[in-house]
Amino acid sequence: MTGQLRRDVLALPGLRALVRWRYARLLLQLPLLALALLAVYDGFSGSQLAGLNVATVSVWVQYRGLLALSLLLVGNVFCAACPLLLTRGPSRVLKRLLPQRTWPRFLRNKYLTLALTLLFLYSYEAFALWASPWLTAWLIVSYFAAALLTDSVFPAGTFCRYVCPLGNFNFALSSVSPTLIQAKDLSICASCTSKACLHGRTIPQEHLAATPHDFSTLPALPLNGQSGTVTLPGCETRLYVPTMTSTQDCTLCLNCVRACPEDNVGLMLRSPLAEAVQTRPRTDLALLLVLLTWAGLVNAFAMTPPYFLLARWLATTLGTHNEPVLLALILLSTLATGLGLTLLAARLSGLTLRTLAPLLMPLALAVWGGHALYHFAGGAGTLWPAVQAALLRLGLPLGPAALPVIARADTSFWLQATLLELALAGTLWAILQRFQHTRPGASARRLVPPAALALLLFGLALWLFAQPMQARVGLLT
Amino acid sequence: MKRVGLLLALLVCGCAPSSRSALSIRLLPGPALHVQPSAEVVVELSVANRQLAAADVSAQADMRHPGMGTAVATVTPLGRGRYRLSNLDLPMAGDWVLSVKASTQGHPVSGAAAFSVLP
Repeated sequence: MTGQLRRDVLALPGLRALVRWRYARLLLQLPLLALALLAVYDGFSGSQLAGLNVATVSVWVQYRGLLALSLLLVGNVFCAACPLLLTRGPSRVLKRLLPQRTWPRFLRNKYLTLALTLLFLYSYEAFALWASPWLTAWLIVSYFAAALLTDSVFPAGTFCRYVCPLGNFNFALSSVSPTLIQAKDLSICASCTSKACLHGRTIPQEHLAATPHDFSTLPALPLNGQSGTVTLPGCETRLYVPTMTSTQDCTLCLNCVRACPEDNVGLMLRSPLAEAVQTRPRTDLALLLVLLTWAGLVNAFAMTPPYFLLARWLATTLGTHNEPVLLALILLSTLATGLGLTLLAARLSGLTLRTLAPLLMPLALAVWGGHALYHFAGGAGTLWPAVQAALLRLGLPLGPAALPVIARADTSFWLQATLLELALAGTLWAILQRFQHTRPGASARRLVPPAALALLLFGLALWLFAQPMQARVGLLT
Repeated sequence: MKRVGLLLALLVCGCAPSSRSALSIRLLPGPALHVQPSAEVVVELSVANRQLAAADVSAQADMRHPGMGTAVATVTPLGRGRYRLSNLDLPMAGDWVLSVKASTQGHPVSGAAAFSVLP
């Protein structure tokens, strides 16, 4: 089940030619850029009712739902279409004006991302970002500014790899997606000296049409090219295709597909559990995976009656009604409990956090995906009326503006339960496989702690999804 | 261009959108609102402390959470500035906002009020 299926998605008719086209990524990015600009405009100047504003509806309902679907069905498509990368043009100009630095060695890990993810999770609830078009618009602007500044001072790709919480969320959860960038034939890579997929390559302009694999369809991006040459960029997050076993740090930009002179890079189908069984991430990444796993539960928990009961109990017990403090306590204590239980399961089973964390990713995706799809299933139709209203204010009437119809997500529990059951089955199977690979002689009892942890995650998620959902801005109101 | 200017002004000033409204809305005490497909509330509307006896009143309820849609109310005037808002479809518990638009002596006025729905 973890074996490679060796089917290249890019072999589908027309797809390889399309992704090798110089404007392929731009084609994906422009609609999202247009939506981001409209969201900023509407967030700052439109209705401040979240349900009627493009900023809040697009970011907190549509984006999250479509992200979950794409991760489940394809892979990290949203990084591929990320409009933030369109700041690369301006950042190339700024690079000439600003001092250039290398990213500090002590930050070349996921700890900054982990801290930013925690900050985001706290801010999301403390400032009710989901209820504020104005704050959501600021969040979008801040994100663009951070991407621009980071990649203007530091090497391109620094923001994606070491800073962006959203991108790293996608990297982590795409570890259970059914595709991975890989070499089609490793023997070709063994004789490759240029490593063009990693470093990129510069070729004479006239060679474009003469090179194999019909480069005429690929008028490559002339980045830093000398006169008469074009540069095909390599991997900005420094991944080398023949050694890739993980989606970690892969933005699915497909630069490697364009740069490989042998046309030897594919988007290969694989078992969604392959990475969980085979990879052993660094400790910083393992911690991020564990945080994201339990944060998915906490995020869903914050919409259920027991969350508010817990807040009231804490307020009474501690004698404080300071909501930011109570929120910080709930967030940190629940995440710390999750981390503690994961460490305990790893210790009792003889595994390490680094080998156990990837095994939890199927459940992490099911929890985040189940929650996002709950909102998306009910609210998919609420974006268009908000877009219509925003465009109308810009003098672009697109038919009679209508109010969004009341959303119902009555059937989503069954979808959520099915997702969770599949994820639990996958996780249990992956735990078994992991033991067979790494500890073949281990007692069956060693399987119990990680299996119990998976069952606990499953049970908690199912219980949360079965709760009557509610959305409240205040913790104690 | 004016809109771009407005956007820039908002960005520079960093000021939050105004929450002022001409129309005051008071939800009259009644049974607690629960999740239901056809809720009913009675409101008292006033402009500058004068009860609103306008004939043309519309009302809708939106959740603070995006993606839940808009519940449009059937409005029935009860006299003395009071109106019954019925057929409100409230599918989720939490914080909601009631928005009312009215026309008084040819002048449009609008206002909003928060209310809570229990599971």
